[in-house]
Amino acid sequence: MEQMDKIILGSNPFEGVGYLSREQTRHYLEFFSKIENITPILDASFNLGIRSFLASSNEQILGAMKAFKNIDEMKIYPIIPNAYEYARDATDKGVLGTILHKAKQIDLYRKIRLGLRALTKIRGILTKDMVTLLTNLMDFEMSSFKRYNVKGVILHGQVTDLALSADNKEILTVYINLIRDNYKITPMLATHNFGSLLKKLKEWDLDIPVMGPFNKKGFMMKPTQDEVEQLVKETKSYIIAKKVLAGGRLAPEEALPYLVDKNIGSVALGIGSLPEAYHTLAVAKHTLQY
Amino acid sequence: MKTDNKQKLRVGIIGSGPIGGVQSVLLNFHPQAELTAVCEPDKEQFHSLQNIGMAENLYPDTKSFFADQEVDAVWICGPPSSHLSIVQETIPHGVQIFISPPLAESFVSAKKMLQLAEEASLNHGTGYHHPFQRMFQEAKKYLASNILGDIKRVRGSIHWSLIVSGKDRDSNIPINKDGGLILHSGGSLFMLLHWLLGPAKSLHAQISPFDVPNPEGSTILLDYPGGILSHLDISWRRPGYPQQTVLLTIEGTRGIMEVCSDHLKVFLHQKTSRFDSGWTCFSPADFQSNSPFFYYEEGYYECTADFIESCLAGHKPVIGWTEAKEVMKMVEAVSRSVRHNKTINLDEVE
Repeated sequence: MEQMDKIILGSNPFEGVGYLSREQTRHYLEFFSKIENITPILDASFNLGIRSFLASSNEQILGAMKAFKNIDEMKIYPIIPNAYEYARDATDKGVLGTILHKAKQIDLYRKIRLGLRALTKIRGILTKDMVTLLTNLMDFEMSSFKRYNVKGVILHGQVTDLALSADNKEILTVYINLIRDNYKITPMLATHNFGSLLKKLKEWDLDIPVMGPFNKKGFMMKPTQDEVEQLVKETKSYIIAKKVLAGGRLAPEEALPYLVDKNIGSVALGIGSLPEAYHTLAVAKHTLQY
Repeated sequence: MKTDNKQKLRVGIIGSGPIGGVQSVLLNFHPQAELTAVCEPDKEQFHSLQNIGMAENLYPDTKSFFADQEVDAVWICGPPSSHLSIVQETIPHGVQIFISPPLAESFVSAKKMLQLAEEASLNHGTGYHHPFQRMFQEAKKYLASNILGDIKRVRGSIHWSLIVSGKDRDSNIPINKDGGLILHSGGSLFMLLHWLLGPAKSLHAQISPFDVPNPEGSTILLDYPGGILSHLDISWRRPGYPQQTVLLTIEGTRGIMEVCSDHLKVFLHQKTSRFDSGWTCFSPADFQSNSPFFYYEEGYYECTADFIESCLAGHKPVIGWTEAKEVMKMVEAVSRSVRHNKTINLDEVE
């Protein structure tokens, strides 16, 4: 795996995802629906030395990337599939619904819908058809990022956790091989069930970078903060910490020192405004010595 | 009950749609549940599932499902209009039943289902997840401690951006027989209010637009015992709500509480032993969750886990069909109120 930067710019706020209050979430949705409000944050982050970006294939984010003059100097890590955008528009819920909606555009609607439903513990074998479907879905998702300097791909937490719950190593193996063989880049996993995934990856003997919630308050650290801390300490997987500010509840000065002595490879930071970019990223650079 | 003294609850899912998909993940996560079979009554979907390799433990109807599988509980995740008939087919097999809300497509069906379940003495639960979200649980605790004094007024809203432009209309409005705004979003809000405040006395509702079978917005006035007035705003038209989002503002003689899944804010006129005067604000990060797993949205896993654990321990779940029937009664009252343009006393709806 190519060395990843210590600090990576996240994209949650650009997709209207916030954890502090309903007002904040609404503000993000409204404010970042304009490309011209995203590019200044990309600019500011770049000026502060940030060279990596976690990007979803959200229309506004892709538009901002196109408009951003230094994009060729950035390492891009797409998160696929883009659950948030399609959950917003489609009637079905969560990632299943989003994939359905997206798959309609590539005429794989029925097959993918049914394929994902089949990912239960009681599934049969992973058929050749299923592998073809996943290949096509990855190709479709990755097509938006063709022109960029993509260094790795992160599987959305809802899909990772679907495979995790189903105890389905095979689906993750297919994903890993697809990304390595077809794109020659690093496959990674996002999760909302950090502890369970790290345990399972050890059991499955899969060495793959993992991104999960990790913060001083224990916010969204499943099953418990203590357990996740211990598993992160012991894991061989490269760890990318997210939600390090506990969804905005911690100031960077409070939140970031917690990460210093932990086995954390990189830190993803979502930025919701220009002042926040200068403040958070400056503190992060100083604290994490980047 | 069949599950007494067993380590794991063996579960079958009936209906493998999007909700069935989410429930399968939640069941797979739970250490005391074992998802053993799927019944998919939709012929086309059944054959497609077979074609992609899921042939084992997959059944096209409840008859073949129960003939071949010994399960302790079923999760019914199909459309609401199918719930009553599936319950009728399921009850003779003595299994416990969890239903993805709403309970049924009508109050009449809901009453029948509850009657059947009670006669058979089986455990029944529903997937209303808001009462399992930490912010609402904290709100309930504060209300129980009388922090706001006498409650006078409640404003509630539930928004979901399903209909944000004319072009989306046809594809996004669920068909009428399986509910719409009031049955789905209204029902979720009614359940939360019922859980927080108890049963309402009467309601008056208006919907908009008036000339289509499926309303896109509704305004409802509710009366509660003790003189509490409530105003509800239910809409699928407002942009900015990728998921169903509830916001409640509760006004009492001592202050105000505003609560949604993202925050809890309390404003008190005077200092108490617990809070200063003025605003006190909390976010979910301020509370440690006891839940070991997360999928889709907070409250989903906890709700599913509560029913699994209630079946194994032999007690009632937090939200059963009795509460879900009360929700259906309110849905029926909304329908009558709109039809007759008058206030409906909920005691009259039986």
